[in-house]
Amino acid sequence: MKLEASAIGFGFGRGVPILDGINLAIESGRILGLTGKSGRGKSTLGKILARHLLPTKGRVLIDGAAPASSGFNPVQLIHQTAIFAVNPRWKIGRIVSEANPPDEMLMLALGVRRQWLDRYPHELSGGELQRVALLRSLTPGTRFLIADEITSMLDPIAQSEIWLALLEISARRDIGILAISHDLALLDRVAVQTVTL
Amino acid sequence: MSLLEIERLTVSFHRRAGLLRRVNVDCVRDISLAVARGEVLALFGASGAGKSLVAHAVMGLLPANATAGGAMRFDGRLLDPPAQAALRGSRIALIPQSIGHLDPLATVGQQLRWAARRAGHPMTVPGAVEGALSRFDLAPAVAATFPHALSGGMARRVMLAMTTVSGADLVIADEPSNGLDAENTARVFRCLKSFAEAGKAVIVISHDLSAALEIADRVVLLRDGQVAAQERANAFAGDGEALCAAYARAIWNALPQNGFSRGHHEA
Repeated sequence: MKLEASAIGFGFGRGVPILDGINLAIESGRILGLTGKSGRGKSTLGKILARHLLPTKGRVLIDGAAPASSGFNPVQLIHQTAIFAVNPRWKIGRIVSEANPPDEMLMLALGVRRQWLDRYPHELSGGELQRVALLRSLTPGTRFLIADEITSMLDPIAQSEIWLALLEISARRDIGILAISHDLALLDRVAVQTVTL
Repeated sequence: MSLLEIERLTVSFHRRAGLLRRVNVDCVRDISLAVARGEVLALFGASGAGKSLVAHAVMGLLPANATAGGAMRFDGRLLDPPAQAALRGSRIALIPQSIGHLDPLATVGQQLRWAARRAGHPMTVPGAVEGALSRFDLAPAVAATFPHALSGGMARRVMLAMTTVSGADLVIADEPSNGLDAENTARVFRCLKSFAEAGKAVIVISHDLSAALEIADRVVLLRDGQVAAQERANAFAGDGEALCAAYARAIWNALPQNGFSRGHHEA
């Protein structure tokens, strides 16, 4: 499968567009890197690909066709601060089962521990919560993952653990990943190719 | 001689367990470290390792249900609560983790003047505010703006400028690169290095090891509230062979530019 950004343009109001004529393709089972200075629209492009934002120009295509506008979103977006992506009043067990009951193997691969399931989000560290967010997003219907600076607030050991797990999952389940990061050394390590915005 | 010496610092939190029982949880145990004038010390650790608690213990800003044990000395003087209250904001400055600590209702210029006055040397010369801002690449017009109109990188540099006008000898920066891109991170870290070059002692708390290593002389690695290793910053260069502690080597190996390996180290 292929997730494509075709001639994407985006701007807020009547100001100068942030993105203009952007073309990008993410293929199943491969990791594409995306880098660029602050304010270039990396996160905006990520949101457009996951359909959290509508582009002002151009289209997002999955295998050449417009994705369905309802039902489970096969393109899942994960961002830097997991705490803002979860319901603070739900326990972890409920959060990870929102779409599907979590897969035991996947829990193991991502290092999500059973005892966390009975806790609230604020009772986990940033790294632990990021693993929870990944577990929730990697349901059977997920085909693509937009990983927006997902490990930039973590220590190097947590970072390598999460990315090594994602490399393995991406290959095994044929999931395409867009890795957005400022860290070129990291992208060198995980991505087959890196695009600079 | 070291400007700040911390000896066997322990921070414990008291929690109620049931109706009558109270329990103490030690979040920082037996941490000893020292930093001298002209030196940049990086305090590194995973989240929850106790980095910020060390900073707050030095400042005397621990939460009400926490107590600090051990001894701290600043410039040879015992750092007890009255000394902390007297030195805070004048000789010891903390640059907090969140830029939300700037007052949203006062202009940048006003806040700089307050910082200078609190430290006991008010700004009287015209243009002093603008001069302080220009040292951190901030335009004179920034003085008249309110914090909400600043970008993350600019707000951090405003906090650095507040530290300089206070004339502190010891600067503690808690995660100064959070939310900044590589360019702004480098800029903020260069400013911190310039503090050390001007004879101040600097402690940088960061989980971004690569950025911290650019300016640090020494690195203290914290793990589960204890000092796991103390290394010279240059030991992280090259093949990492000069690193003594197992945890430091595990961190080195996990960096993407090195082995990018999972953290297999003795617990």
